[in-house]
Amino acid sequence: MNSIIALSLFGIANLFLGFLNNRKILMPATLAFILFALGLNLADWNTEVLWFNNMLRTNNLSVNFTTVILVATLLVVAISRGFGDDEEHSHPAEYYAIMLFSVVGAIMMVTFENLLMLFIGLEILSVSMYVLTGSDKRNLRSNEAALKYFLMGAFATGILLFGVALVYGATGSFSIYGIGNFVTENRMGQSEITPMLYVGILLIIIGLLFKVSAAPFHFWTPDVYEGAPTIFTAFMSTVVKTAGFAALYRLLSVSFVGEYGKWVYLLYFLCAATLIIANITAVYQQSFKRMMAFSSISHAGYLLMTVTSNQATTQSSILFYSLAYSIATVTAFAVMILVSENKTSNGKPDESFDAFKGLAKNNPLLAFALAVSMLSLAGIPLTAGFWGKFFIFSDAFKRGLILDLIVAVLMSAVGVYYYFKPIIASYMKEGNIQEITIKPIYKLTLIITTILTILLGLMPDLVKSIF
Amino acid sequence: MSPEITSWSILLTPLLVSLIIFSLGRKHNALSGWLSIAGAFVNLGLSILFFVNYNTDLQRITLNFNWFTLGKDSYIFSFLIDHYTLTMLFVVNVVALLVQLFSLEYMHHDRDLFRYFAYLNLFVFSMLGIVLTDSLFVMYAFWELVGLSSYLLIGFWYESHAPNQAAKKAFLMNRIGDAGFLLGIFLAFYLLKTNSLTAISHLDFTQINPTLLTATGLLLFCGCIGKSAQFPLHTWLPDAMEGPTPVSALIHAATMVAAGIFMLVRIHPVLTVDAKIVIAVIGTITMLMGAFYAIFQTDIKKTLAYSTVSQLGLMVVAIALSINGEAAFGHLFSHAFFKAGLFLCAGAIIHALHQTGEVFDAQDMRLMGGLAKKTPIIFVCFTICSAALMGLPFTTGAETKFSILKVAFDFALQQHSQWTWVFPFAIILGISMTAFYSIRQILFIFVGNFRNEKVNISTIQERNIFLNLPIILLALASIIGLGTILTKVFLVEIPVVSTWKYDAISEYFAIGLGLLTGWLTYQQFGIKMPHINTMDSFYDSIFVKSTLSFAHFLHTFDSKIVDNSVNYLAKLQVVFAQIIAWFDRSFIDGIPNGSAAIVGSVGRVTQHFQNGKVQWYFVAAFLGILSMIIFMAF
Amino acid sequence: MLNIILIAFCILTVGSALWVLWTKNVLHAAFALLLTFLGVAALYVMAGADFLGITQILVYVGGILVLLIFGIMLTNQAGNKEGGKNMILTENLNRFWGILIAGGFFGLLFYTFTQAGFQEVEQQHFGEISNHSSTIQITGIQLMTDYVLPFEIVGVLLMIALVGASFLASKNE
Repeated sequence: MNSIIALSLFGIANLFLGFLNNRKILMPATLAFILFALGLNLADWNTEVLWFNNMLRTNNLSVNFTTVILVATLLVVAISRGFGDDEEHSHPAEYYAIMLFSVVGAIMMVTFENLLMLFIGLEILSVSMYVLTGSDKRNLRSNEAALKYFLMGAFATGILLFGVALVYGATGSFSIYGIGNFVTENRMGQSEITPMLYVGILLIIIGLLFKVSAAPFHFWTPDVYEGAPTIFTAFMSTVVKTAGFAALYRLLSVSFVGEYGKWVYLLYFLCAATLIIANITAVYQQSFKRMMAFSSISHAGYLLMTVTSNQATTQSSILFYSLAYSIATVTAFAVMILVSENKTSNGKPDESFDAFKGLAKNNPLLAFALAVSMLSLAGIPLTAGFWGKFFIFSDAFKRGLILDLIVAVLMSAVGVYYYFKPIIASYMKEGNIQEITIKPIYKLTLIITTILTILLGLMPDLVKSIF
Repeated sequence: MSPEITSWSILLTPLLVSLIIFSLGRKHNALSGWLSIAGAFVNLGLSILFFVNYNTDLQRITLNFNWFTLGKDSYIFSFLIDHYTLTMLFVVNVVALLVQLFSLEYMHHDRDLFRYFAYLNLFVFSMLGIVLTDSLFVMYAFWELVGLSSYLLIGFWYESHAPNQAAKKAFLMNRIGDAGFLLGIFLAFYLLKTNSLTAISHLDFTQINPTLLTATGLLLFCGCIGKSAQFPLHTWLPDAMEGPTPVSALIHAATMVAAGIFMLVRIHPVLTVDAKIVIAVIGTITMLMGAFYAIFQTDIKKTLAYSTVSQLGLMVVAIALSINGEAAFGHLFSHAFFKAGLFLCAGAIIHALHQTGEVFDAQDMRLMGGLAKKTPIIFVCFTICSAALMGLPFTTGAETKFSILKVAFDFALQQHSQWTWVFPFAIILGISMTAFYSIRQILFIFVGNFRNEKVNISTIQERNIFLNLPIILLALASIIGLGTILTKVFLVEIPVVSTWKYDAISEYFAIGLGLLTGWLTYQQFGIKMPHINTMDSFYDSIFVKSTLSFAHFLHTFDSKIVDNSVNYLAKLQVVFAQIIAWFDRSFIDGIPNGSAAIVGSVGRVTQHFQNGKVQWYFVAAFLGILSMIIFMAF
Repeated sequence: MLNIILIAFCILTVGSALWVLWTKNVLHAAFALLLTFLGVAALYVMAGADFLGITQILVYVGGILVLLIFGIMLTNQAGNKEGGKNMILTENLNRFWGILIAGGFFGLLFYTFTQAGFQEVEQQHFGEISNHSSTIQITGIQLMTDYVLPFEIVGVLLMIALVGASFLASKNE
């Protein structure tokens, strides 16, 4: 809650900072704001508070999720290079302000206790993302992506809201615990449950599945990820995904757990479908960014699996996976931004795998960071991603989701194929990439994320025991 | 030295060497080879020291290092030091050392020599990891690393197309196996509540659901199917011959492919009778199929590759039929030396032919012949190793193969069932076929007249100590003398309950028959060889094409379906853009024509949207919702 | 009498909604949408949700529709310059999928609501609320007490919308 208030104020402060002529101050200021919010957030550790008439709940779970979100934001801001460098991004104050506001929405999605707060949080996050997606105004792809995202997002919001209304009608409560109690009591068999409840639950789940881009609601993802400016693609694929899964997990584990048997098979199928569609389509992509979009969809599939398995360890598995995934994704996009800007085709950044050809020769750091992040995303041992997958698989195993597990293991094998494409391109293909100059903070971020990925791969208990 | 320090240093030396070579880079190409050999020497010394100090009968040392703890589960990084470990350490290090010596000359012209040695050391590191570890999870990690380094080595000459494809294929085939392996590890952990190999070997399996246990065994065996090139995933191994020949000797003959066998030996207690039958059948198929394909190869390395597939199948059968893994492990041991020797001989021949400076397929046996006079040392060594492969007397191969045969007969006698006799006789058939293709290979390469018109035979010569020394040593290790000493030191006696009295006779008869028919067909048909289809074309039509079409379908759905629909959206976009434009005109700057540029871009956007797809996304989403509701309701 | 009015509004709503779907002229569609919104607002009022009815008219009729019509009127068409009619025409495409999906969705919702047992639900959860004659007062009090946080935090949402809109619409210097 404190971090929500702080970030809202900081967002406004950022807008005012935009009046200053010195744009260079914006990025450090934003970093400081986020760090401050992170501090406020961590100060809530081990306290359990309900805010404003049961609207928000702060506990260790929410603190953990907020930390993951803020860390991801921090990394994204650190690789944003101040935006001020080129004409296209001439409104850095607005960008940073909107990013901070959207984090407010994301935090609300992980702390909500009342469905209204979930809805408002989701809207804050989504509206910010529509704007940021379309922020590259001269780029047609960016405009198209923003409009598509907006249309699909509005549709999802409508579905979610309708679901909330139906659930409210059936249970008489917006509170997730109130709904949970009602569902569980009715499960015990006093009265007949109205079909409104089931349809409501389903629509809420679908609304959230849209946001986390699970099949068959994933179609917008590749277009939007490809069209959006890369820095915001990185933001989208980390923060939005984490927040979406946190919300989904809280709803399923608290509110709807009484009807577990009703929705679990559905998610079971969707999880398998998401994994298969995403991974197989990803194999045939030529653009790195589009491949990352499908990779993001496939990670939604893995996370869906642990949400479905509903074990005691599920929350820490989601957290660990989100953290590992976010770090690796930000690294990958950070490298991609540099490489694609370095090598343009037809005046546009070249985002295909070919752009990475011969990267290792003159830019060993970039190539290494890319390789580590790809290995982590692929789940190769001794990287953070391996443990992320490992924890998720063992959760699914305890629940006995054998079929999903088989699909997931097979699809992670497929995943290795396409994650290796950029590695192969950068290490084993000939190319002529000159040495790319990197700003110190950018370099520092890359080094930190790479070290973190390997460190978490060697010692996952560092954070897993906290989560 | 304490066992902890010894095992850590054996494991980490290659990694360290690899990192050093990598960081030195291309400038120190020449140094990299010597550095690597120095590392291998140290490691070999340590391994021998380790063996001498700790190889007492039935002693198992488990060294535990607490990795991390989560809740009640603690994850332990542990080494298991026993007879198998120590022997494998010796084998891996010896072959690695010899192969690196060989590579010094064989690869010396290569621009990226440092990369080669760095990869080689990375491979040795991961292989040693598999050998040393006590935990199935850790084994899986190294298992993947072995796959990765083998991928890098097969694709070492990445400029050309074929090695790239072969590397990819090897990697993917291995991944299929690994997926099963991982599932097996999960299932084993679930069933047995442990992933420690030591603990597994002491478990009481009577309390455990036999069906699930069988499934566990078979899933774990999937790892072996991938890595040890068993049917039906065996096709990657022949293709992997695109890599440098010393690599084939080290990885695809002596060590990596043996990892699957080694793993089976380790998990032997888990295998139930049912699982063993399946494994034995797959092993038999692999053995016979490999031998059969080997007969029809014209490429010197492909023949050896299929022969390797066949021998691996033999080892798998041996594991499945025996009460412990000793017989298979023995053959693994002797096979490592003579097959590495054969590959290095092949490499030396190829090298010699390349040295003539002419351009032709130096691996085609049809273009060889009569090389015995020109390359006498290679000829002798090749013949010795081939003899060991066939199982002729006075070679190490004879002894280890015969133990497998005895185990198989023992199994058949114990089972009181007629059909179990299939296995020993299949092995005899395999032995006969091995003799057949081996003698033909020798005849093709070394006997008769030189058949390549481009090259003057007098220019061919063997000359380099780095090439010859490893070959000679490996040949010596495969024959009576040094070979006998090695087998006496490293292998243990294999207990057999009952023996069939005609076993030795039948084996020698089979070898003799193979040799005779091989020689006769050579006399009769010369080098003519009918072409047969391997399983690749079958895979291509079944899996590759169907996957491709499925992906194509998904791709179409994702992108193209709609080229001619739309319009509402376009209009909406116009409206939307107009609002922005109007807003812009009236409030932002007030200049009426200021929005011309935006309108222009809007037009382009609209144009772009004419083949937009959002409506179809909605259709898909709505259909999804409908079907989900229906699914949930019923 | 009340029933007749109800049916009349229902027909108005559904009829004008169908008009929106069938007409090719976007301006006609916009005006038909106006009727739909009005009809829905009337239905809200008749269901006792007077606050919702007023909001519907204020937001949709007063805000969104006006914006829509502005947009249509400002849209440049080729005919405009040559003195022809300024019409934006659309085509009806994908009828099959549209009807299938809309029909399917309608069928499912219809089934859900027929089975919902509204009276039982009302007694169970909303008996107290239905005793009040107007929902405006209760909504206002709730917004300022129990739901003050969402009420405040919507400000952030509006802030983003405002900043985003001005940013997207502005030109780059």
